[in-house]
Amino acid sequence: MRETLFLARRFITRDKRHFIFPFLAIAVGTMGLLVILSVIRGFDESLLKTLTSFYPHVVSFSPSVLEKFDGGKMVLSESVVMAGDTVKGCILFGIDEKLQERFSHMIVKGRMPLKGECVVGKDLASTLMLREGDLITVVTGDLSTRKIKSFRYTISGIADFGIYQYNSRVIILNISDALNIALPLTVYYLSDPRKADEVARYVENKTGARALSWLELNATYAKAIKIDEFFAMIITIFVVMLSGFGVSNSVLYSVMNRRKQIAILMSMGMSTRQVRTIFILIPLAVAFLGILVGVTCGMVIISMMKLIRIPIPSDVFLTEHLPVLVKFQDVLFSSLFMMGIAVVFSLLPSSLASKVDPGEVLRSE
Amino acid sequence: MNEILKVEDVHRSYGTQQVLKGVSISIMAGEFVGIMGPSGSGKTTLLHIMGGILSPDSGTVNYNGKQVNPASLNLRAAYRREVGFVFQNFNILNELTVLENLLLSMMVAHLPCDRKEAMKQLRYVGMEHKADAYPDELSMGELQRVAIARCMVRNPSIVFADEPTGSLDTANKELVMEIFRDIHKRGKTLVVVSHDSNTLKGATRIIELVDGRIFNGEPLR
Repeated sequence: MRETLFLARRFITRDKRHFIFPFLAIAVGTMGLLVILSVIRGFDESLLKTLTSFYPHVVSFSPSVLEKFDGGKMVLSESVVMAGDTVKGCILFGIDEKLQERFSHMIVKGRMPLKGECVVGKDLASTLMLREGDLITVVTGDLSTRKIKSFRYTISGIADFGIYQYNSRVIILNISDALNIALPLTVYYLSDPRKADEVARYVENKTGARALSWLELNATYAKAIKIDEFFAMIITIFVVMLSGFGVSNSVLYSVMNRRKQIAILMSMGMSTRQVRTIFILIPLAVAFLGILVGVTCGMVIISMMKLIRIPIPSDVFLTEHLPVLVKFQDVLFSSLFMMGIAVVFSLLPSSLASKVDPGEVLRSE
Repeated sequence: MNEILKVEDVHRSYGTQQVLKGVSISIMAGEFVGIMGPSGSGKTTLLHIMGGILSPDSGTVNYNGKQVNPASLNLRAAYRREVGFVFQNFNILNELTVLENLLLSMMVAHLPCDRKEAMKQLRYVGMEHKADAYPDELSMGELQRVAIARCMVRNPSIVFADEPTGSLDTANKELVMEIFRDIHKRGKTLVVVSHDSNTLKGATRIIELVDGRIFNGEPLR
């Protein structure tokens, strides 16, 4: 092995200029890949966070609350809100004290509602020109009479739920008022919202009652996240393949240029396996250096993006700044995949190198 | 003397041109065998087959009683690690210094990388002062001496030399052949191909190859 390492190092240093371009291809490819993946992950994480910061992760129709998870009681209902002459559709969330404490950080003005009070989303408040202390009328079904009824509430606060779809439609009520409108559901909030499907099945098994995850209730957004991950994988594959072709090309050139050296080495007793190893070690070394530089530059760019906080339209992207999130597994996966591709793409040239007939080459020399 | 190398009825063609037509040679340990013949007689081909670099179309090469050609790639590589080869155009690796070329030879032969031994061989051929030079800084005579040192550093049992003085001027020819004669005096088996009879002064046996066949192979008195 020492002779193969020794020669691989020497061939690289003597052929430096032939390996500059594949090295740059890998470095730039890795850097670009990391930045793209971090932005895609950032958007996914931002979307996930926004969607699940308020909306319950698991909704169960069972009255009992499992102690294993962070849960509470919530009433969910759709209705219509009237303020002055303006009428708008809305979603009512009746929440208990425990959940009020959980969401208190979303209040931008005022406080959580007591009985007879409500909190409205900031965009809904803006559309209906509402302020703290104003009265609104909510028209919805009355659970006891099963008839349409109007309820009046005083606005105790304005909230920012982080997402326009909620800010423009959500009204929070005290659960004691909400119980007149609909039956309460048991809701759960998880440390990892991605596990909601799993937890929903667990709750169903334990309680015998239907349970739904936020993924099932927001299928479009869940699909969006999965599509993002799919495209991230496609981009990774294409960038890495492109870099691999660059490396393979350079190794092939190196092999073609070194037929005489290979013949000399074989005449000295080097085996075909050792020759093949040299021409696998070369692209591996070039890939490793390229990845090292690419990851370093990529992380620098990502850090700068985090620092600068590039503004983007929040009504389109559900976030105000370009989100970036670097995950260690992305760095590891891209690096290992790139190294693997470098080896795979070097198999042909290294195989050609091992097939050099020393007798023929030295005879023709 | 033991028989160290036996070539039996070797044939070899390049395309339709038959270069070796049933050559058989037996070489004893410690001999200095010269192979002569006109250009195109098959001398280099024969040497390459004897050295395990080329395979014969038919026939065998036995080394110390074991068939080494034709043989598996690994077996032939193992055989080439035991013998030494000196080429007409030196075939020194330009990417490495003189010393590194010798160290590589030792590594390939699975020997410890002994710098002292390598320097000793360079001293023997008068190239110690050029240990850190690259091949493109050396003259042809110096390159051939380095090639000999590279061959000898692995202590081969047989040394094959193909026209070792073919690219050299008269002074360097004599210097290189003096080294080979000294190597023979030290007990090594030598097989040297040359078209120049002066080069083979000191050979214990001359084999003449004409048109792919042995013309004579009688030992010199």
